[in-house]
Amino acid sequence: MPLINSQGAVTALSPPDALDPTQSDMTSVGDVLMIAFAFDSPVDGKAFSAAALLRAEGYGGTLIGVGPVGLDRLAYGFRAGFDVLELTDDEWQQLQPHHLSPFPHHYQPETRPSQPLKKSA
Amino acid sequence: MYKYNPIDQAIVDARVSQFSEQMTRYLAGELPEEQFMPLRLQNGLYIQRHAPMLRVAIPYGTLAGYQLRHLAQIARKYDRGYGHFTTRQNIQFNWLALEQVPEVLGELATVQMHAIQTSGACVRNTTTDPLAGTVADEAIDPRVVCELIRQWSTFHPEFAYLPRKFKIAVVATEEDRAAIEVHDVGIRIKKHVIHGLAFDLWVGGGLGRTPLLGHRLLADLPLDELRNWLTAVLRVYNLAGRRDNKYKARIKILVNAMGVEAFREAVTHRYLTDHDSDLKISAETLEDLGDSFSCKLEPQPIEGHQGSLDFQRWYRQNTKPHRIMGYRSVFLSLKRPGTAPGDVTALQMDVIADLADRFSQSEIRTTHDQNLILPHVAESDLKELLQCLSAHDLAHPNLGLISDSIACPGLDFCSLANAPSLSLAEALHETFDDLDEQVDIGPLEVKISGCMNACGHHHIAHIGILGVEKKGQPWYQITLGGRDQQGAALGKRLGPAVPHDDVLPLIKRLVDTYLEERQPGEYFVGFVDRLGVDYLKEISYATH
Ligand code: HEM
Ligand code: SF4
Repeated sequence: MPLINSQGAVTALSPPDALDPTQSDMTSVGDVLMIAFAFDSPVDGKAFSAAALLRAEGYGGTLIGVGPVGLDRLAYGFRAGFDVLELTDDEWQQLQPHHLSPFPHHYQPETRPSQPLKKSA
Repeated sequence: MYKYNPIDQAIVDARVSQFSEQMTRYLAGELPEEQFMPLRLQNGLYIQRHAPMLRVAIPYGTLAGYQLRHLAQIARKYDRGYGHFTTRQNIQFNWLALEQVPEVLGELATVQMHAIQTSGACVRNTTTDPLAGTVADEAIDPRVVCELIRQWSTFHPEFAYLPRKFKIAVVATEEDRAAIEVHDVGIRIKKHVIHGLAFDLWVGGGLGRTPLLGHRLLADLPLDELRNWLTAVLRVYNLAGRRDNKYKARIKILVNAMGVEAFREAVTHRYLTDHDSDLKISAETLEDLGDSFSCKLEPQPIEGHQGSLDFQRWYRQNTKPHRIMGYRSVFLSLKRPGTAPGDVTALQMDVIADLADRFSQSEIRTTHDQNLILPHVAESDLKELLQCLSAHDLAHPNLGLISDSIACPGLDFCSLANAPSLSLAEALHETFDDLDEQVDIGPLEVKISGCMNACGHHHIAHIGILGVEKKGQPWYQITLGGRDQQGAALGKRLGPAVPHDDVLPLIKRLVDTYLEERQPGEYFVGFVDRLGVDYLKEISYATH
């Protein structure tokens, strides 16, 4: 899935190549408008933590998850801090409201939301 | 006992509908196997040798009478009339039909039970001291902390797709009855002069293919920060743990690859940068949860253990002191001749549920060595209780003795097995059929796994037995001197593997040597330490 922003194409990063868990991340990505993380397989969940820790550190840009996210992981993805997640055409056809919100309550606190897409100078 | 609030109930109910819908999509061919697998595993559903197996969570090993009674109903209605208690304090049903699983989950939800996260690469049921709440020297009832971890880890958006399974164990006493050093994370809670309650954090222990003892990563952390520290540990693991090879994917491999120092630094960094004040545990929460677990018992006159010889033997072997005067914790051995370790019939479940209601504040505990406990029995009720237990084959007085062995299901049920386990557990009963001899031998833990996945915990047994395959035949490797308590140690290999029928004769020679050469007061495991495996090897293989 090609992704585009106003500067040109964006490549999806596969954590942890993009993020070193021992380093502060905001110094490297804090100014980036939009970051895409790849889910390498239906059982790969690195990207959930990659998104969540950026949000924990206050990252306000747009987070996109690409790859085999799957209907059953959409809710986790949004709660972990993603704004946009990829689906296949078939999944898009099957999508029901409960896939976005299977549970009426959550035991974990909310992640900080992203800011509206805009950037000063 | 902790009772679900409306939020807990709503979440468990929602899970039942979610899983039904997932199963419907799977059966309709809309959900590929590859995507369904993690979903069914996170609901405790395995495809086994004969039929799907469902593992039901018993959070921190505490069950109420009405819950056990419902498990009995499920065993009757959907299974073959029995259930199997596991080494992780859960229960498994081995003979369910796939399509009925959502219905079973629906029934479980009516008694506040579920199969959430009992398998799969996620945070599993937190295990703890089976005697929680009954011993005098606890810093806090560890189930309070387990329940906090249960809530925090249930459907955690970040940690449902980890590199591999993740097991946490918690204790709150000096004595470690939950084997914290062989878990991905072990937590020891203690009283602390500054923090009130603090914890030590162990990371990177585990059994399986690469058995390792955990490292004490951090000590004396304030308890209210527990969830922030756990988040930090899991974030580092989720990002940096290996996913290319499932045998290298546990956190223990990551900790060793990074080195403990670097791992500690990474976790501390994440803790400091990602700290979330909403994860702090308030004093009120601790107090409320503490109240929900506490059980108000009036001290009773001490009755002592006068009575028939059978009663005395059972009292000595199968009951333990209680923090309240006049009470005992009563162990129900699930290791009886003729029965697979951990198996309980539906009838026995009903009986145990009734006995718990009558004699033990409706509480039952499961232990990681596959026994059950009625934790709060008045001494004055013990004789009547023993009669009932005896009538239902639940009073076998072999707790902690050589025939109280742990065994995984092995080749009889498990598709990964190299060798049978259950037949060796049975052979232990046959070889050591004299209970007086077993008492004379004293504490001796035998643990049997049918393959190197080590569900039977053979690495931490005084005598460990591991099924291996040799030229298409089941053979067994013996290890000696393992243990899971403080000063935990992994067993050392005794020598070459032996065929099935040589295992018990070999163990008999070892035990006979111990009986002849032990020093006064020396237990089997101390004897192994003193003489060393090389010396014992010569004796054990003498007739080969
Ligand atoms: C006083 C303590 C006892 C208690 C609390 C107790 C409890 C129970 C319960 C609740 C059941 C019915 C389970 C069900 O149908 O689901 C049961 C069944 C039974 N009990 Fe007991 N029992 C006790 C003592 C005994 C004794 C002393 C004997 C005989 C020596 C005995 C033999 C049986 C038998 C044969 C059954 C029926 C088994 C079957 O239906 O297949 N029980 N018991
Ligand atoms: S140890 Fe091996 S044989 Fe035994 S239950 Fe586990 S996977 Fe199966």
